[in-house]
Amino acid sequence: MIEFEGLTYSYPDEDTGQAAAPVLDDLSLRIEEGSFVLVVGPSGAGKSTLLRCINGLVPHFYGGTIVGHVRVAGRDPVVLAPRGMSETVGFVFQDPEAQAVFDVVEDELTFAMENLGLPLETMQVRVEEALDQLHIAHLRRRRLSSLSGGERQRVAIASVLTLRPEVLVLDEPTSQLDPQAAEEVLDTLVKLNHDLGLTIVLSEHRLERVVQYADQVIYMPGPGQTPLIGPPRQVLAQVSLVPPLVELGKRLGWSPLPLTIKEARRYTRSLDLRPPEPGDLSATLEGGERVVRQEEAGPAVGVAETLHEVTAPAIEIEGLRFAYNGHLVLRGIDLRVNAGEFVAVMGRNGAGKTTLLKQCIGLLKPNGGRVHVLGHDTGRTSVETLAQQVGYVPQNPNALLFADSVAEELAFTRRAQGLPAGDDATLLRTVGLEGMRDRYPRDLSAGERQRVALAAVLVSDPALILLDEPTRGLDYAQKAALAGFLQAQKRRGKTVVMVTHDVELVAQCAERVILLGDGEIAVDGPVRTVMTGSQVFASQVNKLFRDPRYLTVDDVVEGR
Amino acid sequence: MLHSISWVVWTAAVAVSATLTQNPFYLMILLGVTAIQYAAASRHHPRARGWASLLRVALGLALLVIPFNALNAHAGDHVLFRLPESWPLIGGKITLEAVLWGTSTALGLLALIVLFATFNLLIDQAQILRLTPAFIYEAGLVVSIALTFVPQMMISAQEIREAQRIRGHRTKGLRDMLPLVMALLTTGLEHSLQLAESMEARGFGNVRPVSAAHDTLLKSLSVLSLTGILGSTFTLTYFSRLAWLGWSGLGASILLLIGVFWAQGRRVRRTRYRRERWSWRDGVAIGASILVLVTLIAVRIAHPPALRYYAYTVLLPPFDPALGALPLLLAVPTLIGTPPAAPQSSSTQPSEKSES
Repeated sequence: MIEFEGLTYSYPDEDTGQAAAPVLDDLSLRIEEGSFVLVVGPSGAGKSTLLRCINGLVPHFYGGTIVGHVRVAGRDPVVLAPRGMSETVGFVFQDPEAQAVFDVVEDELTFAMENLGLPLETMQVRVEEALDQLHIAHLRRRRLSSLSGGERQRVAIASVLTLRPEVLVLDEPTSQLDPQAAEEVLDTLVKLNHDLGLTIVLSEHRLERVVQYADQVIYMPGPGQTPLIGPPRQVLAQVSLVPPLVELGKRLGWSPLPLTIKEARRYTRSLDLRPPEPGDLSATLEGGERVVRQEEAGPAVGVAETLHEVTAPAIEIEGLRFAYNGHLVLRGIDLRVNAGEFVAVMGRNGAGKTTLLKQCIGLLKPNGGRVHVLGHDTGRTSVETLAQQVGYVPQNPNALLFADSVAEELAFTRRAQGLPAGDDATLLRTVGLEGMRDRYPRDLSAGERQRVALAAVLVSDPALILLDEPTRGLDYAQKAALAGFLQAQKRRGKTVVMVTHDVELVAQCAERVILLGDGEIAVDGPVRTVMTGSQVFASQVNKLFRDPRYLTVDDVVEGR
Repeated sequence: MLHSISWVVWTAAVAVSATLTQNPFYLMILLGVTAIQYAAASRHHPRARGWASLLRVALGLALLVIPFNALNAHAGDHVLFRLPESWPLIGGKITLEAVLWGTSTALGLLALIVLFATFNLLIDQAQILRLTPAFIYEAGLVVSIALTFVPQMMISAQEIREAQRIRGHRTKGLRDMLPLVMALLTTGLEHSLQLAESMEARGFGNVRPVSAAHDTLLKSLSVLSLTGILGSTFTLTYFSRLAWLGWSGLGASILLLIGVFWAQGRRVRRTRYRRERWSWRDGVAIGASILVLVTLIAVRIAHPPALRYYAYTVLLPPFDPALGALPLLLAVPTLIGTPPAAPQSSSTQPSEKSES
């Protein structure tokens, strides 16, 4: 179906006009018809470039020099260009907001067919089919601007399927989505592959959702390096970017490697684990019940509990109510976060997580109740004043970044807050950006941009750090780096409140979890108790053992 | 449901009528007819709420014309009251004429504003694009995309403003806007590039290949026609004795240019989805609109004072019942065309993309 033979490609170098170092170097690979292929690897390794060779966007859209052969279903994308390949290859991009031409779903689905001059009857049939295949028939007359990210991404897939392509290529289609929407999209892809036998080539960070369905994994280690290609187990065994479950399997020497919880269960029976003590079990709870903090739960649970009595609260919220567009988003929140705590706020979309976080920095003011942050009443203090002690990193780091270089971003925050110019080297080293002082922030990868935004906010050394969905689009290594950085901040006595869907990140660094449900606090308790008591908000390792002692791979390996 | 073209004709008829007359009575009737159609179109329409709030602002501005004119134009004999002469600009006599003239201007403005909102609710961007001839399709598409980008840019702008505030950035002067504008521009550019990629991957810009000779011929013909238009205009402006030559040259050049566009358009093989069907309703609607339009134009040419109104010369506008009844015909499309948008109970409230 897809064949690369000795493909070498370099982007044009803007400074010299000459070709830069090759991103793909003498690459050869074969993808069989009807297979589900995952392209993984660190950001900047050439995943997007590889995908764009399949429909000719590379080199037609980007320029540069290409040597070697590409054949897709017997056609040559280098000759035919993306337009000519549109009936063979459907291409879906990262950002669901930046790939729609029309504003009504049904019109968007017809765009490609109208371009190719298909007859009306054909168009009508195919629109109906695409709507059904993606389960979006109920959305057909909706405006795209009123859809959620997951729905928009499914519309984008439908809009290329109308041309009946033989291959569907998706470039990190879930990196801008929250985990719920991401699952929606990935499940759809698995179904399309199974039901239609459509060849799917997907680059993706969230391996735990799809790796078990993949026939082939292409691991790109870095620009110009030879990729590892093979069946999932074989490739994952050789690389470090793997989901926690596979990581556990590797550390404990399980073979063949488990890809799903179901497969891993076989090994856990033979694992000789210390039986849980009665104290551990009492910490578990029935799903959805409110947890009363347990003082006697032992040192592993609620670590900072004893400290709380002496330290001042970082956040104190009483009876907070807030309405947005006439819709009550927060309905009576009472919350106390002590200085030095690490709190994760979780809950489904629309539960009010972001709203709660924005209340803590004063971007939104309470309609009822009080919010005190580090002793300031947010209702009476300006955002700019609060920002000197509170660092808030928004969901979308692009909203923050505008300067010409990373160093300039940091200097801007310093100037805005009236701080003297200082030494950035230490901060940049802690966030892992030491070599990038002079880089243009917008050219960096998603993970790097996230860290620039983090650095730009933390340069003023705030006592309270608020993070909104910090792991979007990050790979496993970048997530681990972020977790390490945040833990270091906590050790320095900072308070961290983080809104996230990422249970693995929560398992790694948070000590207290707050579950929001429809504007109210549904659960508030130590991370180990809450996770073990929940079917949904639990880490992979915890789902496997269902034991509050085991949240992360390290817990299991060290606890044996 | 009427054909989009019927609505285009109707809109043109109302717009031209509202500019042909300044008579407040007729304008009021036109405004009423348009307002009824607006009410019918905005029912169940997902964008109705956005237009409603925009309309409120526009209506307020239009109504401001009345006091503004009354306070500034101190002409006319029917003095209502006097403001001290020492007050700059507004000092002097305030006349009934000025109030009436302001009212008739405001009515005309109002009718056009409501009409604009109605037209936008009646017609879909994609649909209007499908109606445009092939050779201006691409230009139309650019406008259409720009319009879809607007809501997205508004969200981005809000995000960016918040992000800069939480860095402690205070926007005091124009210079402080730089971070906001830069971030917004970069975001917009990144969006456009990704959209361009997505369009190309979906076969946009697919043209039928033509021979080099054919291509050269078309290009030279378009240059010729443009030169013709320029030359004829020049002749018309400076050599009034050669007017016949100017006019015929201009006509021929424009015809040639249209021909070139048409030939270029034929290279694009594009089909149109959901071609609407014509029904007897469309015939009636278009007929009524054209009847009103033609009659008003004829009256305006044959007997201008019947429609024209200038408060400072004749205080009270004339009213002819027959002429007053004529614009009522413009309500015919409203009566026979059902509201285009099917009830969408769930779609009226935008769902949250990033939860707030």
